[in-house]
Amino acid sequence: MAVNHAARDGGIFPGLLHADARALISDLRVIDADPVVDAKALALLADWCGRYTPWTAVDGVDGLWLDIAGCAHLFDGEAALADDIEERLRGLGFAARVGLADSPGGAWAAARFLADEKKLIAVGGTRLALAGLPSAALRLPIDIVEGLDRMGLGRIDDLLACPRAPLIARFGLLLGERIDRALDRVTEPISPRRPAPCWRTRLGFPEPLCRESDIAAVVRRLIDRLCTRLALDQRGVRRLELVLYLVDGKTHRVAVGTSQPERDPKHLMRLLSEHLEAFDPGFGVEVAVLAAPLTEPLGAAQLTMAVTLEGQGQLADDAALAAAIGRLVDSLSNRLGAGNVSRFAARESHVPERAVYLRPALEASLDTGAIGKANPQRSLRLFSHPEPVEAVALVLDDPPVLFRWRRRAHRIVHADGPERISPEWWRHEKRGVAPRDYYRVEDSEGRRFWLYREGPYQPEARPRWFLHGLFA
Amino acid sequence: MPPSVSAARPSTRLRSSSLADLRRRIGAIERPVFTTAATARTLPVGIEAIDAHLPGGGLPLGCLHEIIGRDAGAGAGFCVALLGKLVACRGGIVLWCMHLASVHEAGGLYAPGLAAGGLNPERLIVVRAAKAIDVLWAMEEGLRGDRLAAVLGEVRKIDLRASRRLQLAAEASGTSAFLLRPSSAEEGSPPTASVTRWRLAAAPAPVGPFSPFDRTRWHAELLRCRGGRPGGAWVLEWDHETGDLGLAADLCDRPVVPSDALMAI
Repeated sequence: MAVNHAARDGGIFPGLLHADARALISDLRVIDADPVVDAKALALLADWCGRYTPWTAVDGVDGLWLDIAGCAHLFDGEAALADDIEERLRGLGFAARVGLADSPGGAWAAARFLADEKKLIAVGGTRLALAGLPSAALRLPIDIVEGLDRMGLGRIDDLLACPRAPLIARFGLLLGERIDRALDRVTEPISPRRPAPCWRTRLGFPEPLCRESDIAAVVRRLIDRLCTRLALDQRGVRRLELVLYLVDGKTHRVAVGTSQPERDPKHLMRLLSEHLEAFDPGFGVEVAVLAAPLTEPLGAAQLTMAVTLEGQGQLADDAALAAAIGRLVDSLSNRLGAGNVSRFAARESHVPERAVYLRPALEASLDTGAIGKANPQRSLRLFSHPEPVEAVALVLDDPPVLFRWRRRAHRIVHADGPERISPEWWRHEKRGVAPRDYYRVEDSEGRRFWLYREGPYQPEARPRWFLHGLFA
Repeated sequence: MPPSVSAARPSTRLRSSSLADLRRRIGAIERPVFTTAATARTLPVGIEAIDAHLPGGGLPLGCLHEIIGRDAGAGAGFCVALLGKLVACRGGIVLWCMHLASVHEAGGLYAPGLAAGGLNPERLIVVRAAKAIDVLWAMEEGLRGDRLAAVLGEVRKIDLRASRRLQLAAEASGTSAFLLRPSSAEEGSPPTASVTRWRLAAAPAPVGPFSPFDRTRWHAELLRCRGGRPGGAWVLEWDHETGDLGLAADLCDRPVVPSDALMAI
């Protein structure tokens, strides 16, 4: 439902039937509208506008909100910022109009209804600038606009001159709300697409960067800047996000996490450079933004790194070692996934597969407390899913004499047990699961296995045997 | 036998001294250096028969060791016993890198069993990787910098180049590296640059008045040992109660006590 300038000059407007449009211009090119793809493209564009400000949002089907409070000085003023946006969007192939005001409502009206020279409304000048605009500039639904037109209140200053109460009685609260929002009497919150971090450094380049070494140098410079700022506030990074804005409108995002607050530029550079290895800059990187969405307090004393302080002895060694191991866990987790680098943690359970679990090392602190004393009745290795085996037992309560696992038969020479482990009746989903009789068995060659039989003896059913683990 | 050896004694002495000199010079060139006491850091296994085969009287630290487990439990159990001794001596954290294929084959690690095997599970960081190359990468990361006590990786296939990299990384940082491989890796696999190579298999428990499950027995063979004497085979026994690794000794008959000694009591 959009037409370009040439079609508009020919008399075609959105809403005209295809047949009528064809009658007006015979060689009209018609393309099917794809709202889903358009929405995605608009979202990508909103992300691309993150190079100006972290606070971006999508407005309807054809607009973007940018909250540039505090960002204009980076671009030599608001006018230059607006010009830059228009020029770059035009370079990307979009026909864009930029409006700037104190309030979102005023900016919406400015972008769509104000002539070119007056689009940037100065601070406090919203009322004056919006005065001559039609009522549709207040983002009102079409029926309210038509109603206002019928009453002769087609322009905003006419509307403002009227007393509020009868208007609201006639058209509803929405009218009053929209007027207040446009004139900045009431703040209108805009939720950003991504949370805006307060620790953020940005570098823009006059020429796009294509070389890997250049991009790495830029990232290193950004990290150094961010770390010096964090050092002033005694904070360390827990999550770091790097966004690279490419010339053709795409953005590339890299996120890394650490297990402890970090402020060491070398370590952070190593974590990021792993992800940058496979990055293809395309036509070049124009802007690089480094943000720390999650930070934690980090005192200066914890930065002892690999130096062992003489005379402080054990305490300094432990702290340095803990930091070094934290860095190892960071780099392992960032490459292999946080769920794959883990430490043991105990649970209050007597069921073997639940008693101990693996918790991601990024979360756990180094001291986890009592993990489980030595229990020679438990196997060294445990299958997370017990493997079914075929076992033969002479007497039903006895351990088996022969079992077959993975197509190999094992003849049992020694056996120990049974150890009955019942399921936890207090866990509702486990009701109906049978108790298990565990046996430690050794075969003729000395291999030891941990077998269990599921369920008590039932005369009509064959007992089911499983292999749960292997002993040393 | 050359005639000069039986004839003149000084030439024999000269030859044995020059042999010792040659050994020393070769040992100095070889990496890792074993001859000087200052650089030889070893972990005594605690069994004299085995320590006699190893250079410097113990398992050399800061090197790559390879353990081939004919049975999945035996290889892992021996590794756990060694790591337990290492951690007891030097303290620190151990990195255990597992390939997902080995998890399917032999199961994951279980903390109470680890503790029974001699290694405190709190001192372990477990890494699981889908690809073998990631397991080797994780091992190398762990070997960088002197922060861990030891690094262990369960891999099936490793070539000479990758093992050489691990050996160099272990030497540079002084952290010991262990490779635990299944028995299928033995046939047709290329040689590796490990300093010692062991083969472990399960051994039947002794028959006696004690419960056979109190102790675990393994057949251990030292296939390769740089700077030491390879080629030993022992039956090792791990005792759960005492946490000791020792040579298996069968019960045998006591010598007969003379009757007058009995009367004296």
